[in-house]
Amino acid sequence: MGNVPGKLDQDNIYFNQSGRGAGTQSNNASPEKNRITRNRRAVSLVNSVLATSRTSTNLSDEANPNKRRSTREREALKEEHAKGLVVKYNETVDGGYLAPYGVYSVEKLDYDVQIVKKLIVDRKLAPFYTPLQDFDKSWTKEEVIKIINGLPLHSTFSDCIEEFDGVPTGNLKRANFDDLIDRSLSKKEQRREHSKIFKARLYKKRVLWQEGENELFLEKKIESRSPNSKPNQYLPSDDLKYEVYRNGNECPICFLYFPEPLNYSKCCLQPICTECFVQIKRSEPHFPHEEIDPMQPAESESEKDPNLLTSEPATCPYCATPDFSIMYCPPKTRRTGLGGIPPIAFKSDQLYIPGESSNSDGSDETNLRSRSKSVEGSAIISADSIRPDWENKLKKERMRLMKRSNNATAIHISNRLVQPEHRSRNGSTPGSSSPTTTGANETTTINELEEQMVEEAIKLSLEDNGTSGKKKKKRSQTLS
Amino acid sequence: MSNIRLREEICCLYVMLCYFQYSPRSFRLLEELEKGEKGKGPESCSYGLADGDDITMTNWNGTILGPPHSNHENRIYSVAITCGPNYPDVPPTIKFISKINLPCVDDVTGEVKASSFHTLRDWKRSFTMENLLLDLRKEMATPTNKKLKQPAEGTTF
Amino acid sequence: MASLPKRIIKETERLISDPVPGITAEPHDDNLRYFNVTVEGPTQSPYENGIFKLELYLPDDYPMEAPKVRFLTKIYHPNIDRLGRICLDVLKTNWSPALQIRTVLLSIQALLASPNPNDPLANDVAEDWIKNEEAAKAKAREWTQLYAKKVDDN
Repeated sequence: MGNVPGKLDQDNIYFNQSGRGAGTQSNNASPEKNRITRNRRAVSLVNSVLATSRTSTNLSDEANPNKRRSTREREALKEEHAKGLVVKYNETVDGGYLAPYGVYSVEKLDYDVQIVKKLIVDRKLAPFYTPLQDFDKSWTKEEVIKIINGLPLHSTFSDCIEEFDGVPTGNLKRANFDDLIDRSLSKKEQRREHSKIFKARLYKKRVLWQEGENELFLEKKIESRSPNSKPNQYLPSDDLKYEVYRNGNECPICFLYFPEPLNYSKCCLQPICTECFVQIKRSEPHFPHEEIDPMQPAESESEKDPNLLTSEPATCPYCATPDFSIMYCPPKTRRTGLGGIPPIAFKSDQLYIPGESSNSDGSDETNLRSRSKSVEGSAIISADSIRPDWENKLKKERMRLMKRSNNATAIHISNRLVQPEHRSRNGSTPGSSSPTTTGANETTTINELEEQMVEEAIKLSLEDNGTSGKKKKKRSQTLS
Repeated sequence: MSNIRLREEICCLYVMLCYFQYSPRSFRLLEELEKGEKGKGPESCSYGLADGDDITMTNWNGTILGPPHSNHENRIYSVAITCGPNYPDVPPTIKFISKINLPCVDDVTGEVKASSFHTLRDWKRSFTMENLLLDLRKEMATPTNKKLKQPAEGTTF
Repeated sequence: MASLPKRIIKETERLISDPVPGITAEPHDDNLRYFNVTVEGPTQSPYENGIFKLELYLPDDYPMEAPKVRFLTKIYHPNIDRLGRICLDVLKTNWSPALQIRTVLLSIQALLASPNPNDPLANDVAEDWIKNEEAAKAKAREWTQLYAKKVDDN
């Protein structure tokens, strides 16, 4: 993944044959000059797709997890991310798109949008194709084309999401929505309200953005059907529609039909569509699961050392091999859209033959290189590589827990100093998260030492105190 | 049932599904139970199953810690919650065990009157027992309610 | 998602057209993500001759999230608690989206055949199991007779 955007100049050319048959233009008088201008155009077009939020990618890649971003910055990043998930009809690669069709809910699309888009444009990951519910090998070309013509850019959105039920969203055009928040609430509650409203608004915006693209797509399709219209270079030719869908496979996870080539798991060579692949990620930070002795009381989460928090890399859904990765070999018969010929120019008799155009645009080399890469292993995409922020997330969670346990210890000590008859060690119940349940030999802080001393003192005083402490203990438990 | 008929039926239901994708009562209640058991909720209230063997998960116990700066401060109120067969489409019923003086609580039975408590009156499916307890606590802390004279601590309805 | 995913439709069809021996799963009429399930107790286990009712729900994020499953029939088992909750790796950390309703139910059936008292959910049952396995199994048989008896067709 050492690619920088500049590399696109050499490898990928947007619409490199400007609508004519492959290979013909390479015989022109000044191929060199043509190539340069074409390349320049390629850079600007591809980059405009990839660069929309390069700044935001840099921000999220930030190495220092200690740095806290303001709410406004974080919300801007989220909005940028949501924009990157919109499927656009004019951003295609080999008949697929750069954003998912919507098999999974929007909230679950937390992969790095820019990285995935770039992988798709680089032909290292299958594009997001519009899936078919079913496919019948006996369908004629006309039937397939008819079905493809009826496909939307994105699945319909649910308008009855429980989470957003009753949350006000106000005027989406106005950036500030503070007037929707109840000022009589506490600061903490206002913040919670703010984030709820933000989420609901973002969902609505996302729906509007996608619906806008859907309408545009429909308009362009209708426009292209009128007899004296200029062909829309972004729309696929009938040949391309058939070429893309006639060979396909069912993804074993979503059970939907996708055009081949699909991605294949590196370990066991099972197909997986890109939409399912971007769902697969490492486990959320958690404490290692141990087989517990039922005779011993269970440790509560708050007693554990935050440094023990782990997050295992994703395993292959099919064979459970750790560190799940996929391989992708781009189609040999079509190279359209970003980094290829205009989709409208695709003709099935003009198969994409690597050798033919090798002199003009170097795509032969590209193709060969990408194929050999998959053999060497460098074009293998791991589940971690599309979520590079996982390590920061883990660090953040550790720090959050550490902070909480430090606070708890502080409260704990002060509680005991105030109520010396409070008996905790013998009275702790399994699963209780009350800060009074302390595990022995767990923390190594100075607080621990101090705590042990205090505890010793309490024990001694308890021995005098007898049963009066027990009643209070019982009461405190009903609270915890 | 033949395959084709099943297929047809599934297709018919397809359209209506938007309304039926909610998690069923039992799994919803298990989720709430888990949150209550693990103590993930706020410290000012707690709740749990009244009978750990009751597979229908109908009867629950709750406690509310009286809000500070009010006549309820340092008091612990016990409540009984009943989640009927149509929970959470319909709100649960909730009844104070500990005696309390609040306008939305029936002064004879201890029952929280749905008509005068907004969380029950404007119940939404997404509300939980935790919301209910926290909102009752807020109710105790409103400017008009926090200075209400309270019955002796430890008395019950 | 507004409509039922293709995956759930296909799984349901296949469960009915090609049922698993000893297991039934049927969706509710009003919620096609919510299934009534029965599992026969495995032979040569304390649950033999019992029919156990379960409920299964496919959450919104299925298959990225495991199905939620619970026993409705009382059962004496170290990995199943009094509310019917099941402690089973494939329902939690070892869930994979390539698993299906079918495989989950088979795993549950296998759990009945081989309880694991070292990773318990019902602590008291697990304790009994470790202390005196024979007595615990006898109790499991007794409960099967009491709560999970097959209803005779005649």
